[in-house]
Amino acid sequence: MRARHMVLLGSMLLAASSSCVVSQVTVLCTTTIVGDVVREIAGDDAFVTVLMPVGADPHAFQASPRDAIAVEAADLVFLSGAGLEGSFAPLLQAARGRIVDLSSGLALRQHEAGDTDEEGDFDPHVWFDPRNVAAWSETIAQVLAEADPDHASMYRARADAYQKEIGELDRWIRDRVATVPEEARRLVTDHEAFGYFANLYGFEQTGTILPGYSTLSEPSARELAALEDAIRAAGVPCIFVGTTIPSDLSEQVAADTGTRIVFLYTGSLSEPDGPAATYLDLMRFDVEQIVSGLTASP
Amino acid sequence: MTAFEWLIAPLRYPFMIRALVASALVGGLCSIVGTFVVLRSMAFLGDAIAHSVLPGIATGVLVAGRGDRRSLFWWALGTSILVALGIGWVSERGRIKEDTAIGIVFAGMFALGIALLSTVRGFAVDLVHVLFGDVLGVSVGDLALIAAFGGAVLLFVVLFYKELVLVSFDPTLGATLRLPVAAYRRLLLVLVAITVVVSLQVVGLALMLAMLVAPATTAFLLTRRVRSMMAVGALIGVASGLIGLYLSFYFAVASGAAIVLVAIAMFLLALLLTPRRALLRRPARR
Amino acid sequence: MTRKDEAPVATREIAKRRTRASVVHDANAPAIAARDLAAAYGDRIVLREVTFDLSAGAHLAVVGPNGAGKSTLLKVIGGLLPWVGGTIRVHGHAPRDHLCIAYVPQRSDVDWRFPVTVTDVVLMGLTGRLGPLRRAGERDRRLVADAIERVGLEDRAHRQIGELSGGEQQRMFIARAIAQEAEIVLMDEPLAGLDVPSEADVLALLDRLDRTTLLVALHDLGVAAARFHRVLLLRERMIGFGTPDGVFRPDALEAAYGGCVRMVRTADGALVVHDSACPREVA
Repeated sequence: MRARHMVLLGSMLLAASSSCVVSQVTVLCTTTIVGDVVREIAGDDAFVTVLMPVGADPHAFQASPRDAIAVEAADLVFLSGAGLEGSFAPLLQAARGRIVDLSSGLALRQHEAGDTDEEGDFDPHVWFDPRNVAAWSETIAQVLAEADPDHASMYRARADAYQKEIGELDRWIRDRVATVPEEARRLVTDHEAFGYFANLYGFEQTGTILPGYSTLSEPSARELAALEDAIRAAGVPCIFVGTTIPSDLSEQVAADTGTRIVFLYTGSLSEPDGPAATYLDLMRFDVEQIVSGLTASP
Repeated sequence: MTAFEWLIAPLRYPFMIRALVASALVGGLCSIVGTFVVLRSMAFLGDAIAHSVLPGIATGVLVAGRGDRRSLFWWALGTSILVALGIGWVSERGRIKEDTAIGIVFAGMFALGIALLSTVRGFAVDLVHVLFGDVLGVSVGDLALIAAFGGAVLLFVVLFYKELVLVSFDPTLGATLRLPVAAYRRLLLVLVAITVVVSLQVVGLALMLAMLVAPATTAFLLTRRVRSMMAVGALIGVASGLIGLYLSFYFAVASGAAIVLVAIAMFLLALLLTPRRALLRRPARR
Repeated sequence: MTRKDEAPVATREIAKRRTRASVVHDANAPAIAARDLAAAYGDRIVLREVTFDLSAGAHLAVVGPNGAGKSTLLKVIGGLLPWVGGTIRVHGHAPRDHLCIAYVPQRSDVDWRFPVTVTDVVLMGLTGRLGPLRRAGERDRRLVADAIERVGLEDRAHRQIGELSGGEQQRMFIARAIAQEAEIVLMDEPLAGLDVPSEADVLALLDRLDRTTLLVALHDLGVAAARFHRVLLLRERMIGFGTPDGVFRPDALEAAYGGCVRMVRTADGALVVHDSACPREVA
């Protein structure tokens, strides 16, 4: 709600003060995760708003006319990229300001040839590898500095500080993950969101309820059957599902295979008073959930 | 794989067994109620009732949140019964041509449903499930609701069978015998409404009409009496449900669509194999 | 497969008062007594000034040009339409109090592709007596078989109704009226579209219904004059009621048909002559 009000306020200010010089750079971020990282770098020196509300599923986000106004009014638009914003890409093309795809230049995961085709070929969940977010902060600092040279040194300083925090996060994650025995490092999730995490920290994405990188796909009966076989064969104790999509199918599969449902934050932060209000909190929460889920006695 | 293994393989998964039971129940139910839909030319009405359910579901999503799917069933049921009775009331007034009135209600309700749902950001997945079904997600509770309400519909059909056939064939005779013709007509509309909601999870709104009409029409081609038309239709409906689901399992296609395609295929087969019965030509004289 | 002629709006109001048993007939009253009867569709009066008495067992032909109100009159007497003026009494009571009235529709109003057999249709006549939740028993089936036999359709009893000829279709509805144990039978244009032999069959059958009060809407004046003892001539208002000779006078025929129709009595019947050179249109 706050984000919504800020967008409205921002665009009203812009519209009303055509002769007035707006002192701050107006920045629009697509997802709450991107918004959090951008805010860390921008601090109070730029006017940052987020398009999606907390809890929205980025794969399925439907933009409204008000969102179009916000996009048009921004000086800078930061995308998570790699196809995540595919469902409203045309809207973003209409932006007046500069569009920055944060994932360009990163090493992206892809499905192998011959797999079923999904919406866009790349895995857009790059933020689950903290090094990618560190790269984001670099890009953000550069872009902000170009748009707002007066505060360039502030942006630089904050980016450096943030990258230190990410370094700490990475070390913390490795420590926690080490407590999970190798053969137990199997992730069954609702959709393929944890590829980068799995790659970096030595997990296997054993199966997903919804095939592919997006939440918009439907599993066929055969895919569901294969998933249940994989779950039973691997002996995983729980299925990790995101908070942004309904979990009925996951609950059915869990009930049928005798596993538990464990909730993670995947595409969006939590509410400000929740356990995943920032990117760093989100990662810590998710890793804790994963570790305790996989190591808990059945 | 031997044929037997091929038959048994899906049954190892509880979700497939639930889906098969649901598809069989829904296939049979739609065909039986569909007998009246076909004989009374209520196909357009049936389609309208199906599409008019959307705003009820959307309201349910807005009120109860997307997590509580069971309540959506009740929202859909209440809406569809109200719409069915409303359509009946509008067409009884007789001031607007019936199919125009139905069309207006149909389109208006559907648009209202889309508008309401669109205020839920990220409604695409919900909409897909409502339109095309979600049979793989059928739970035991869902099955209980399908069986209970489907059974109630069948009970009414059995109890009032000869009256329903009579008012469908000759409402004037019904009036002569001082039967409550209008009440029976409304009962039929309500039975169609309940059938639509019960079948939503298996078939989805978009394909509902096909399930109501295709098996019953196929049976019409193959039989000469209403009773056998209903029985044959039910068999075809159940078979379409089961075969469609097996096809969906082995060929990875959407189950609702597969079921409907099987039903249509059976219709085409019957059309080719039976002697001309002038199905599509209507009597020219008034 | 639509019912072409959905029971009109008023029927629903009438049928709301469901009476299981037909009311007891007043022995002193004529079978049908109409006084200045008038009926309307919406605000349009389509029938008026209808006044006649018909005794039980009599056969009446209702004639007049298209749109004269013949069907309307039959439906009012049958309790299927309300009336807006005058009175109508059937055996001393209102029409809708009776369950003993049968209405045979025009053949073009029936869905002949409906999957029912002759037996099914005749059995429908019993539905009023059976009520819901009850199925037809042995006695009912025998009643139906008897009715079918009386009209000579026993070897067509299990045919789907679309397989019947025009004459057989009419006979089937008569059988239904018999099964309904109707004492009054109303028939709307039963001879329309029939060839001469079928027409003769149906008329012979009607002759045999001598204990039944019969009202038959006809467009064929010759048949009306030759086969019916009573006729009622209509053109939105009643022009005449009585014996054919009494009613089919030149002035009456002119009033009804616009002056281009004459009836001539011959030795073995009547001839109705249309003067095709007559300039006035039958409006």
